[in-house]
Amino acid sequence: MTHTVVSINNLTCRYGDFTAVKDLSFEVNQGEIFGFLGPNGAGKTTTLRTMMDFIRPDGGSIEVFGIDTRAEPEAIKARVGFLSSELVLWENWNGEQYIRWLEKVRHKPMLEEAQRLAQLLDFEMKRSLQGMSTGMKRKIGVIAALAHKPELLILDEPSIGLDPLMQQVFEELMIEVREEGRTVLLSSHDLSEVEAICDRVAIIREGELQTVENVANLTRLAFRWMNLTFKDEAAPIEGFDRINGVTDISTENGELRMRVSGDADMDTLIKHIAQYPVKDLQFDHPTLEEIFLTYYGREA
Amino acid sequence: MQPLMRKFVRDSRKTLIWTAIGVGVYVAMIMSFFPTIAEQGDQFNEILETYPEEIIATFYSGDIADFKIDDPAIFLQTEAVIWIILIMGGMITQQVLGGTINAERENKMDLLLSLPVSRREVLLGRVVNSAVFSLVGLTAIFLPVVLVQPFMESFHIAPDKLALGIYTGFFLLMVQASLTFALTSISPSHTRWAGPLAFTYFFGAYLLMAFAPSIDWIDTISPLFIFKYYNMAEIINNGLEMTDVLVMAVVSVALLGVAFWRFEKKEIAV
Repeated sequence: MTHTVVSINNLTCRYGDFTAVKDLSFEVNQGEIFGFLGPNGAGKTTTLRTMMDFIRPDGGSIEVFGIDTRAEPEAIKARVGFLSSELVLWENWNGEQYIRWLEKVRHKPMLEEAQRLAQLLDFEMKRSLQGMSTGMKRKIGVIAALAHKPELLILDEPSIGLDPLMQQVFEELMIEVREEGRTVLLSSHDLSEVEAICDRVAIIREGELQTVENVANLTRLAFRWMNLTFKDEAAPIEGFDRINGVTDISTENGELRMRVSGDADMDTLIKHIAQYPVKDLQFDHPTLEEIFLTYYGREA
Repeated sequence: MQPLMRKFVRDSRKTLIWTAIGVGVYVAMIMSFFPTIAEQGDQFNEILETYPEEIIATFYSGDIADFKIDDPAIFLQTEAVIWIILIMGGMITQQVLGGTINAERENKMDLLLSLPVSRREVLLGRVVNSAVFSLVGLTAIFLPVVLVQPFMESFHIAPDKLALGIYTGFFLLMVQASLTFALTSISPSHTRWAGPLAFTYFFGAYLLMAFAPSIDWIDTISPLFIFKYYNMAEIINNGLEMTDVLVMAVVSVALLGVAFWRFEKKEIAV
């Protein structure tokens, strides 16, 4: 049986006249990695900060582990690991001192797990936090959020500042958390990040929920931009426009660019391309805005 | 709760240690001038009588008719304690701002409140830190006087009276801290008026008190000024006025009540 870990019900948050989150509802189930996707300023951080009881909803409610976030925030936080998008640390400590202090606050052993995570993330625990780069601070933030083995991880833009190698380690850690039956809710404005590890995703735009989808469906519905350069000849447009799922074909500076949908007839497309001497082929991920527009059948 | 308090005190320990050393050295140095002042007390008092009352009131908030610079308590009050209290009040105000509204703006409050600690505990930790800072600062005035006066025949204040006079300043400092806590809890973190208002009240009240003896309307509103309720020299020479202590204690508790109530409801870093 699937347990609901997070339940957001008709959440509305306002900053003065500006409504940051409008009537938002979705649920996160135990043991899943749930992506919360939206462009900057969409209301992701506001929602997560409301979950942590930093700000109070103007309407609706949030339950975490079946507990209203307004009623017993400390009980929830004891079971949650949180990583803020704008992580600021107390710089007069080193990583180990910080984790030892967290052990005292949380009344849980953390150091051994923190040291394991530090090794994976290539982080030096004895090094002072002062003067560390954003990426290094982010690493200790991830370690601090994970080291007490929380039942729920709430991560706001967790991969900011992580290099590609560490991004991969981070993704492996999230998968490890899921395999242990724990839950991850992470926000991102990067579709590829969400695609890589999330099971389901909620897309938010201008404070309103657009959809909650399985990532597999989202990937199918999504599309990529294919950019082709041919050897010694002008880009041939003919024939591409008859292939299913290929649209918006254009040429610029000798490069052929087309939109290839998730359910395009790839076999026909590749065979058609193979008739020509290809010099280069590149894919661009669509922007979130383009995905939104795809969802709503409007032209990009 | 304990780890929070230890962290807050630890964070300010360098400031605390160096402030205490600075205050102690300053008090000891000022006391070294007293034998000369005492020897030529009549001349100094004659000169001071020619000063406008406003200037005397700047140093001494008590009854100006009682003002004698060769009185050890009055000397200590006017030459050291009032300045140290002013500096400490400013430092405590800054410390409270740093631990509350500035911590919100810098996202440090998010880090704290993401832990299983209540807002009440966070604020209480900050209040305890302000109290510790006040007490350490006041002790840095008390100890040098107690230690130096056996070597100075002309300077004598009974240690119990001295302690009562100096440590009553704790209430004044806590009123200022509580006011700052209340203002930072009321004001949204994107606004910038809590700090200026807290500083303006503290230093403004001090300056306006100087004009209270000579300007009627200022005198009328002087009960609003915290410096009306604390004068170390008067406590040492005339005894403690319990009403003054009560006023400071009640105001401080009331302001802290507002601070705790509003902080519990506050939208953090909004």
